[in-house]
Amino acid sequence: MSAPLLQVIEVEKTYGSTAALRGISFEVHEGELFGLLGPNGAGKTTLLSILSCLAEPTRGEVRLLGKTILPYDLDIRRQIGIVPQELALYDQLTASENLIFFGELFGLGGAKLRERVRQLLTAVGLEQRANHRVVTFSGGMKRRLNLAAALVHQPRLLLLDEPTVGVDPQSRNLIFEEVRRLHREGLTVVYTSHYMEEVEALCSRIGIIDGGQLKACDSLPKLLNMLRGCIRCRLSEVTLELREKLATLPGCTLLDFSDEKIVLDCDDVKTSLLRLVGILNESKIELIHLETQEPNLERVFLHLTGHALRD
Amino acid sequence: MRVIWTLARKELRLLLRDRLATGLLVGMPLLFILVLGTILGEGFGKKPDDTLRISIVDLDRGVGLNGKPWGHWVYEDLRQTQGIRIERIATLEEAETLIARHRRAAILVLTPEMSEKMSSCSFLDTPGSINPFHREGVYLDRVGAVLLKDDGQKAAAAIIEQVVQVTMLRVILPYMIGQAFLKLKEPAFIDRLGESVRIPLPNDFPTLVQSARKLLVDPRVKAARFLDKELDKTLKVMEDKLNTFEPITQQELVQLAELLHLAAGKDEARALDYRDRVGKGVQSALEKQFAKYNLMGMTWANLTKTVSSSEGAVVTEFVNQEGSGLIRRGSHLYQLLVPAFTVMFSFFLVLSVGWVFVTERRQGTLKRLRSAPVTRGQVLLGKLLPCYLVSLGQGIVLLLAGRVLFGMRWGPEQWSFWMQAGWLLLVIVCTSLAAMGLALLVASLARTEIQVALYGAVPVLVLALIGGCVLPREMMPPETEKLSLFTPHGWALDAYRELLTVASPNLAIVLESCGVLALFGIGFLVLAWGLLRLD
Repeated sequence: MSAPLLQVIEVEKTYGSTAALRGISFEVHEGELFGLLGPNGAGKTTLLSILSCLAEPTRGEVRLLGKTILPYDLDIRRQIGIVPQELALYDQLTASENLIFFGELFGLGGAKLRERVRQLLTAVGLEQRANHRVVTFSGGMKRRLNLAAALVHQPRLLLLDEPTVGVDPQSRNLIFEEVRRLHREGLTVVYTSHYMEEVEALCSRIGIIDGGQLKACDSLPKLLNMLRGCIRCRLSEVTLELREKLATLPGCTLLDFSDEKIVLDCDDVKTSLLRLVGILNESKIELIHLETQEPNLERVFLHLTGHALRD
Repeated sequence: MRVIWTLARKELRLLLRDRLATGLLVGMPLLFILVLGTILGEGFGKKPDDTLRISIVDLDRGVGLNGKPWGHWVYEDLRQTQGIRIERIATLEEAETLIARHRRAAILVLTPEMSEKMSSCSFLDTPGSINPFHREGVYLDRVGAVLLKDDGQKAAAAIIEQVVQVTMLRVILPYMIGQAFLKLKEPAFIDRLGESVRIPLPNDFPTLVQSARKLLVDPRVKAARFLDKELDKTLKVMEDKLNTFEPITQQELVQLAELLHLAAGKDEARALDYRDRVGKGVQSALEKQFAKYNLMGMTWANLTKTVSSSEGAVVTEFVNQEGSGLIRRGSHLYQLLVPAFTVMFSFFLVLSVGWVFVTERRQGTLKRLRSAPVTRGQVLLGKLLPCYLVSLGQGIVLLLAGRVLFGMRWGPEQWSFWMQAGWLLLVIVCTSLAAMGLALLVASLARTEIQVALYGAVPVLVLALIGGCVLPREMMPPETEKLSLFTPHGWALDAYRELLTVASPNLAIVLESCGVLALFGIGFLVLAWGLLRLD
């Protein structure tokens, strides 16, 4: 594995007596699409503020390319692109004026910048609206432009703070596509969201944050492996023979076997279900009702934090 | 520097793209200036004057006393009157306009006929002589003077008329007395005196005449005259005299004229000499009798033998400061209103700057700016520079509009255009610096639009009021007037007033004001730098 691009080491952040972050540590490797999942108020934005040189950690350290991120370090800012949660755009400027302005702040200029702006507008589907003022844009269009503004200077690390809040499905898909494209091109992305599906769909590795603490940080399969699946079914009849057969099913634990209902806890729901169906056929027992439950991030989050993501 | 220019260009673009706001930056002060310029009186901005103003139009070019027109002597008398202010108006048309517009309660007009009419004033009841007096004073029309009066200001006009009456009396009366005194030497007066004055003869004179007559008819005297021819000749003369004297010995009182006639005999030269002596005698006697006065002085000062101990009246030339047309273009008012509202509205930019910062924070772009490779100083300068340029532009446009629209003067006429513009630009530059300093201070304190409005509008309005933008300092009580020096507005207006209303500006005052404005600006900026937080 390549050396980590971003290292977050025991980062704490307190505001007065309130601890926003409590000893968070993780690493993000070059070209990785890292998801940070957590409910509102979990500390995601605070963490991103520290990652984007906007705030200093109270304790701990953040390193980018091995160099500690400090708020006054202008050079390191050139490596980072941030998509803030709020729309950080000038309403009275056009889309291209916004991008040119942010590009110039990063030292770009001339034809190269104009070409870069054109490419970005095309990428986010706004090339037709390049010379329109942002105030005339829909929420989704603004979100897409918000993303483009963070990319104009071609950063090494892209930080996205809830980039799809209040976005229509079409714009959301465009943003996803753009993020995936950037990831394919090798850009390192930290994507924060409280939408589990987004993180599941996009991120190769996910950190679960709650109450300022990183509860877990791993690849999606490994996170899902923390929990087992479940098969619930109602049968025409239940026999002792069936019970014995189910008890020997590999990777399964029979939790309930009463009346005409059985509950199986299993490592792999799909495999276990195929085997269960085979046993029922052999035993000439009719399957009246079937319910399966595979492990997902929602359940993982509940498992880790004791409350649901949207509580 | 490139980053600052990038930031500044963006701010400038945003500021100017809001056309309504940009228009209001210039339109609002112009509207205020226009409305106030149209409705305010010419006394606006001037210290209330407790002296009475006597406006005078002197059209008299005739020959009056001592070779000078009588208008000159009327003016001189007024000039030596303490406690009044004389305003000389060049033409009758201007005077009539001022009365018609109720700008003056009364104006004294000395007509071209004045010298001729005044010279005809006399106590004599001779053809062509003018009696200028009546019970209340002087008939102004009889002496070639007219008092134009505004019917709407009767009380003020009556006061002015009284002053005029006194002056006219002081001018006419000594002249008429002097003229009358000169008449005492004239034959006509001596004749009249001779006829009028009757004096008794000495008691023994008739007896003496009778005795002489008896003596002449005595036979012994007759015999002697017959023998002595010389004696006869002498007594002949005596006899003739007795014939002459005998008639008056019959009268109790004898006319002075008869006595003079008797004294002169048939000698005409002697008769004239005697009459002249009588005239001089009367004059001399009167002079001695009324020794406190010089009855032939011809002027009040000579008549009363006094010298004015007062400094006299303040004299000013009337200059049409009201302007012309509907908006009173060229009115002196604009010399005060344009700088006042230029200063006032340059500080209203405080709100714009405050909003620029708050908006940046609210819309999240401040976060993006802070995450860009831009220093805090660059962000601040990038924001202040365009606002400063807008402030400069606002000041320049308003002063240009003042010149073009309102006919305002940019400085003393003896200065070149570029000199006038240069000094005004210096004041604009320093005023804008102070305004931007205050703007940044407000921006450093306010976190929301409401706070900007409160922290910005309230101080800006209060400072404008104290500083003299709304009510000129000249119209404030002395204590409040001093307070204005604690405001940048007050110093800015001091500089403008020196350049725009003084004939020969004291440039030291302008430089001092600009220096203080710069200090205000720097002080505000330093304070704001310490307080401003971009997170």
